[in-house]
Amino acid sequence: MLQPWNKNGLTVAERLQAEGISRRGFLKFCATTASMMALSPSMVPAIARALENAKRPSVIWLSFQECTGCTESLTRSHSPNLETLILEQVSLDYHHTLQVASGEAAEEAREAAMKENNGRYLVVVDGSIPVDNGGVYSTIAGITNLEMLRETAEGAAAIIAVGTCAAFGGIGYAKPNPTGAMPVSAIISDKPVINVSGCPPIPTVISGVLAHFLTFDKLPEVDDLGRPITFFGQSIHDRCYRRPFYDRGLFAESFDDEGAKKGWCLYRLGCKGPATYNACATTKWNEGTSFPIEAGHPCLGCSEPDFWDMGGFYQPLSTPTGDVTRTLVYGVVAGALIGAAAGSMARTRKIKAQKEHYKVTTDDLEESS
Amino acid sequence: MTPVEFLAWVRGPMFQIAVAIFALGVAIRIVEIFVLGRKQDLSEPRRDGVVPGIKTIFGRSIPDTGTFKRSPLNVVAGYIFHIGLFTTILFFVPHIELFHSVLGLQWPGLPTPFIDAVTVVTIFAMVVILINRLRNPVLKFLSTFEDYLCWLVTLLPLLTGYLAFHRMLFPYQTMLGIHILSVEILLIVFPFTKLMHFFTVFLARWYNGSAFGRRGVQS
Amino acid sequence: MNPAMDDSIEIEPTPCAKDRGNDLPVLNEILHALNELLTHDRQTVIDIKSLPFGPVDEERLSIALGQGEVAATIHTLGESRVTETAYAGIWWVEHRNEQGAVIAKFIEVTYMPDILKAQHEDVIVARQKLKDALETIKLNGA
Ligand code: SF4
Repeated sequence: MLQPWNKNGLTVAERLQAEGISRRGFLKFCATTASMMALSPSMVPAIARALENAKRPSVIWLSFQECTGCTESLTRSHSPNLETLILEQVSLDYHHTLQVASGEAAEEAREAAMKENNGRYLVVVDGSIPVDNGGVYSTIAGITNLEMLRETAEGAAAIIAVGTCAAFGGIGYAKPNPTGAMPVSAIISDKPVINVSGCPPIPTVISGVLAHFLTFDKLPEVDDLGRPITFFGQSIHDRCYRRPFYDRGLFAESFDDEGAKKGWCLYRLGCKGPATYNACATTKWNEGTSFPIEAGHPCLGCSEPDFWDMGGFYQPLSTPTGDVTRTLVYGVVAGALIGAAAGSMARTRKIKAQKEHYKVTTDDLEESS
Repeated sequence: MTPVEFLAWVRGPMFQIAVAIFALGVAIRIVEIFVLGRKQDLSEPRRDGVVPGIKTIFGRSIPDTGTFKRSPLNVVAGYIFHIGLFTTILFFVPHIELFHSVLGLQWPGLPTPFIDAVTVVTIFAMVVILINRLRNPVLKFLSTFEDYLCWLVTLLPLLTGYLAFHRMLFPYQTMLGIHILSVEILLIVFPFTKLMHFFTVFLARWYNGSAFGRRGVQS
Repeated sequence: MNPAMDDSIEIEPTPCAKDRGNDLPVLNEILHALNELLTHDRQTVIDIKSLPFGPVDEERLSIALGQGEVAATIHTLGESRVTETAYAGIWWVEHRNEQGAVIAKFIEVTYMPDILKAQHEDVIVARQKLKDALETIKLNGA
């Protein structure tokens, strides 16, 4: 992956020009970049101005306790596709799944990139970081994930936590969390960390955030969970094309009933769209083909923290997660018993009082006075 | 606590606590009433108490003309509010899902825009009722802290539900969490307050009606 | 249209006429944009990707807007197509990458989309190029 001409220090505009691409081509590039960053088309002139000066950042990609789904997702990014992203826009200096070098050579590449771009490189992390027992549960080249993250983050300009594992702990963090898995933000507090959550995240959202850093030399604005607002500012439900059905109260009740065939709302099948913030409904997947709800499956809420522990995937959002029926039955039975006991106690007292009741005569009163 | 953690808490442990207190409290009070029974009526019944009892259970749902003339607003607003409350609780589809998951029972829901309109009307009726309570000197004199508490804990689920559905005020997770929490507060307060009339009203009517019947009094 | 969609599965996008839902608001927005163009000379660009569209909504929108008089193709960093709709001043601008995949699609409400115009920077380069070409011709002719 290391391209010698990566480090020629040209800006994006200069490089496009050097390749004989017209200003019109540059405009197109800016327009598609704006679209990729989910920025309004009115931002194109600002993007053009920023790109005139933008240099290719060095990127170090660390994969920790993860399933490689995030990388798989990124390789499906289509605008730009991974090749153009790597070859033209960023200098991906370390990624142990994608890089050619392996073993010690790979680690050397990481160290070299860190030294050369100290303070300026971008770190992308996917996967959670196990911290129990000194972090022994996941190591690369004998170095624990915890150590590698701390070491690499030192000289980073910013960190992008890609995927729900890196952003919020993900499946490793789910109960009972046997490895003591932690998200990046729980370990690194002195660097800007942006969370690109999702299991996996939408490929164009990953590249969109990279493009934002490349264009404006800083991370985009984030919400209170550290996610870029441009992509995570609205819920799936806010942008869902099935929303008119929700509003009118038309719901599919099983996966093959009339409602399902007519494309009605999937709320009753457990859709977590109303409580899930992500861009699936508009950005979509597989080159914009569709997204889970469009394919007939309720949203799982994978871009939200703790989505593994939020009750069943097919349990409607309005239902409790525990076994409330049992609580209700036990409560009623126990209550009935206590009530019966209390009632009969009062009753016995009453009967006893009635029995002990005797008429007071004037004689009695005289006696007592 | 993040909005997600909050939502998980109200849907999980907090829900259990609320339902436990509700079930326990309501069961204790109702069973106690039954076990205590009524004072034995030693007089010879003029007629059987069953029919008048049943008649009273339903009959008293119709306001008698005297009451209506004295405070028509209270009667009308009271009716609107009670019917509205039950419509929103029982016929909003996400609520039906809740009953389905807890009781295993299911019934058809009403269109969401209808529920939405009913909610607004119900909230309005509740406000009218409160204003009436505050403006009528007799009512105001009779009102205790409990009356205002009951009003508040009933209003909150309606209001927060409306806000959550329209995704106003807070992010949806927070708003939905607040809505569920408000219902949990209602459930917890329920057995200890006048809200118990939901269960006791028919019981009381039955007792009254049948007692009157036995004495040959019209109820 | 989703290529994975099987012909045998019938999709009912519009259960009733009043539920056209997803493309109707966009048409309204476009109408508003035309107004803006005529009264304030303000142009509008709508990113198709930002719209909450279902399976056939985009098709329906494109049918609703129809075909106009102009269709242009631009060859730079892959192909781009600019086509006027049946309504003058409303354009489709579609960008493809070198592999031919659509990477961005916009509706522009303007007298002429910017990307069609020759760009100032390119004209400067062109002037130099033409000068050079003339030089060469003169040299060869002499
Ligand atoms: S399918 Fe899910 S996201 Fe879409 S409208 Fe229904 S509940 Fe909302």
